[in-house]
Amino acid sequence: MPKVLIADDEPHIRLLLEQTLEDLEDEGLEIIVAENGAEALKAIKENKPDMVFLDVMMPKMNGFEVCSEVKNNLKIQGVYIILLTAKGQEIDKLKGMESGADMYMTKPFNPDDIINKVREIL
Amino acid sequence: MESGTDKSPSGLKEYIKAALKHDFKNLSVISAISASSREEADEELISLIKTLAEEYGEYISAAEKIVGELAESKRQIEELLEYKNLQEENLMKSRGLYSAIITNMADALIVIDGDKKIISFNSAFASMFMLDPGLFIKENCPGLILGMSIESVLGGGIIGLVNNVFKSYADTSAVPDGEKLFSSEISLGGGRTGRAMATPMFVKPSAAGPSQPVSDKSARIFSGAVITVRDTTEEKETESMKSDFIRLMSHALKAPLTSVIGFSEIAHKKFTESILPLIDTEDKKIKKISGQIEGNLSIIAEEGKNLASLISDVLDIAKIESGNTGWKEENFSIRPLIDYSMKLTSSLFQQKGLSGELEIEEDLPEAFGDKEKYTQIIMSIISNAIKHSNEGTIKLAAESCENGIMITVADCGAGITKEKAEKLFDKFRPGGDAFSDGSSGTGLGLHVCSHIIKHYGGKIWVESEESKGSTFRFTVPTGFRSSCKPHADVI
Repeated sequence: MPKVLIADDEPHIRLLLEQTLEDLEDEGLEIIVAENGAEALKAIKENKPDMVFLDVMMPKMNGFEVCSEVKNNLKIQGVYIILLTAKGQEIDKLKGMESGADMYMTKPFNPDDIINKVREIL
Repeated sequence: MESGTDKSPSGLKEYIKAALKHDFKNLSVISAISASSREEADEELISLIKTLAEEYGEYISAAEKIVGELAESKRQIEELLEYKNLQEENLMKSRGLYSAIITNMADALIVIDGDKKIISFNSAFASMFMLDPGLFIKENCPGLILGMSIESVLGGGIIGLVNNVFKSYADTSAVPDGEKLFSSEISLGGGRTGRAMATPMFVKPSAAGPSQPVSDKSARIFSGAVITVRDTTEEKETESMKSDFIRLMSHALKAPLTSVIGFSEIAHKKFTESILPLIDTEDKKIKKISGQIEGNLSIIAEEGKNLASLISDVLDIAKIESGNTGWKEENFSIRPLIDYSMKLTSSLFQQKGLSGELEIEEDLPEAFGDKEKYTQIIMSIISNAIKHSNEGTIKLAAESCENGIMITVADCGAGITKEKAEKLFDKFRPGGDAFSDGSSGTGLGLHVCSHIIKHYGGKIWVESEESKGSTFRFTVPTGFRSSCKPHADVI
């Protein structure tokens, strides 16, 4: 069963992503949530999700740090990480790419883009 | 000439007198006293006395003239002395003034000669770098540091800066026409930071000493550097606070907007897909209300997007105005920037089913400015081109032009009307309706792109016709430039 981790410290954003992906739950998608960076890293290690929507500005560990840890240090294979953040500057996208992220989406995002991306990857 | 008889006590009885004249005035009388009588005095003696009288007169005239000339010379010397004293007094005042200015400067000042030895400095220099006071006052000898190599006193970034000046100017046969301002952020004592600026110093080739700056640039010899250092710790802290504020605002505004837009879109989708089909379409009132709900949800989402775009522009402008962006001045190649921008936007091309076409001139000169900012600009314009094109090819070209390098991005979108094109680069342009397809821009706002391009001396414009696509062009300066004007005066 494919798994998607939603990591964001904003409850409304988590809820929005959950509602966006709930149609896919009927198709067998499992949704896991995390409220901060450290929790996200723990969830990635334990659940090995196929895809992660990772907020950048989170307490305890930011998204860049979590992404870099997963991709560069732990070298967990097969996890597709999308950095999802309010930081819209292109230079931040470059930082995201350097941390090993597969994609960088800026807030506000289009829910349809989220669904399409999940369908494309999974 | 007269003669007479005199019965002097010595028994001399005859004498001869000749008037001693000067300037037709009788000054005195030359007397010849003789034991002989007038008749016995021969003519030769009389002639001698006459000659003597005339010569003495001339001598007196000459002496008087010399005395007059000496008096004039004395007066002139006294005037010169007075002038000299006045000049010395003015010089002392000027020295005192300059000394006071240099001493009381908040910025540190160091002047080094062509051998990188310190020839002048101020007190801020010592305190800013927390240097050993023993270097300055030892056995009543202030300025012991004078003559020491700057490398033996300081280290780190400032030495790199000095080396850059010497590298550019020490070879007198290759002195560049423009004088470059070398600038670098450096660490000061006590964990503080500063900005050091160094400029080359020149002297006349014939100048006796190294302290004679020249204005004639054609006859100059590099003789060292003038370095000033400003403590920017507080400025950096303020910038950091502004940066934190902008980041916080960015997050604080965009996060709720994400919810507004996202939930309204989900609600719209669920309403139209799941609720609307179940509504009794025979009831006109219900039909009208359901139509309004659908329309209202669309409006909330669209206006939310417009607001998000506006917030992005405001935050970008705030970053620039707060000085947070920093204005790097570096030479770089355009080609890697274009390749990198195309790579990062490749997924956008794929999503829209568009293709990209590059036409980059070979051997383009080095561009000047901030390569990160130009990357942002190129990516933003490419993103805009993709956004406004539904099919076809987006062409990107780079070529040499009169003002440097011209970069062109041509899309095959709906185009822009002439009157809208004129307002496209305005601050806070209305979002959503600038383009004929009704969409707004993404990434950096065009006003921000324009601001950055103008800062570095370039220009940006658009050539467009409705339904025939748009061609954005902007220029990037090339080659060596002196320091750019401060960003504060641009917006």
